[in-house]
Amino acid sequence: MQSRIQKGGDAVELFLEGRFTFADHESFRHIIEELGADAPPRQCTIDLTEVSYLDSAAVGMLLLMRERFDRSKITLKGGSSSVKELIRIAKLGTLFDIAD
Amino acid sequence: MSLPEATLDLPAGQAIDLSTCRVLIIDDSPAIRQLIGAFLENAGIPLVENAANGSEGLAKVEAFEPDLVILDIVMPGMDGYEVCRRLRADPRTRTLPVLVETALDSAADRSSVFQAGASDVISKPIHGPELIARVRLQLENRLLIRSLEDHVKLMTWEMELARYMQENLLPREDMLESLAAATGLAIASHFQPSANLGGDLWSVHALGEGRTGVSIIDFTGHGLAAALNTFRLHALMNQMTPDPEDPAAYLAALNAKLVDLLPSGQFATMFLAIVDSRHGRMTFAAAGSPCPVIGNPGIGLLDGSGLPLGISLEARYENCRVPFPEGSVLFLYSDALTESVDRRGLYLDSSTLTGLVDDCRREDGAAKALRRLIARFLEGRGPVTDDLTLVWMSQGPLPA
Repeated sequence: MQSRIQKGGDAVELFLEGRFTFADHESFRHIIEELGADAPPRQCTIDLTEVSYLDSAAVGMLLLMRERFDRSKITLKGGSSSVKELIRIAKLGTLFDIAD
Repeated sequence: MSLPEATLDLPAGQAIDLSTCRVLIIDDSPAIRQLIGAFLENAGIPLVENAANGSEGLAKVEAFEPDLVILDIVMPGMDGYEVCRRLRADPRTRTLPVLVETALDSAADRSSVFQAGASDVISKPIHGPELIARVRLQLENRLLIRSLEDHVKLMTWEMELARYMQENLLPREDMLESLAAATGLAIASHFQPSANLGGDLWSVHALGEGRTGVSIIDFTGHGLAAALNTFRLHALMNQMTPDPEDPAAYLAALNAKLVDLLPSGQFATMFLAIVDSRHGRMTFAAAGSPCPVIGNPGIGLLDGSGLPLGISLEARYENCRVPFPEGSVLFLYSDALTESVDRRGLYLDSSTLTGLVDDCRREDGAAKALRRLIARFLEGRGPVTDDLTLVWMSQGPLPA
């Protein structure tokens, strides 16, 4: 998985690309550290438009981020049809904002 | 709760006790055998045996089971090269360290000694401290490798035991048979962890009055950590019986326990169906499970959506009720089924899956239907790399 962070004030955008799986465990931890380096972002958009596949471990990592930034507004944006289906099945809409 | 970082600690520069190591000296000269024996004894290696030629040496390897052989090359009869080659050809002594001591000290000689399979070479005349340093090195390696081998053996044995224990968590055949006799509900299953151990579980509760609870659970990840979670959940599920009218309350109760038990980022998906064979209906609740296929008799998918267990105390679960008359089937599966690709790189999509179930339900009985489904699914597909659990239920006629 490739990732890119774009910061603008207290809002950040995280662009992910490729397959997001257990193999990205270590790098996603670093991403969380980097995003919260100064202070937790007020708003964070995770752009999944270019993510083709998400496994349950990846959902676990998103949940870790949710817990770490418990006061932030976190939005999951886009995703392939299988990614969107997983978001729907796991009702991640109850924990994150969902955007197309 | 945070997870510990993985670390690897190896003993550093620890002095290893060589007093239990056994050394065999094969040399035709009694004086040299005596000299080497004296060096060894001085160095705290008292268990030494001697042989005066190659064939006697091989016999003593068998009888004495040394940890190291010190071997002369030029001997009457079978020479050191041949001893070496024979030791390497025998699987029992393939890794036995052989330290060759020889007066032949050209580069070509040394290389043929190594080619024959020697572990190390020392030149004659023998210098005591050098001999002991090399002996020590070989024996220490031997001991370290042996302790690693013992460790691997123990781990393998323990993993096999754990796997056996995990299989014992699953519903027993005789229990399913008596259930089918009482309710007409036949259940067949397929359980295949990707490693020795997996994070999948399925379970049956006989609830009386023709009612049966069937659930399928999938923890994040696979391997040992996921398997330990299945043991925990199984213990929890044994303490609680679902209310036949309210599977959602059961999910909520398990969720509340798992939120406390599971570290952040770990969770379980679950589907719980309660079949009421007498009234021909089924009530179910889901927590982010792959959507089961139902044929009642129309074929379709049930809604498996719901927040997985163990994430949030705020999670709410809902009951749904559908008809489940005689002749109905329900097929539950873990996501390995729909997340593995066939040879063309295609996933099993929902219309292919419902078509597959529709085709297989024509078979006579749950076991045959599931066998057919597995055979057709594996057609043109490589090995499944995640835990795979499949459960097929067929509602037969209600026993009189």
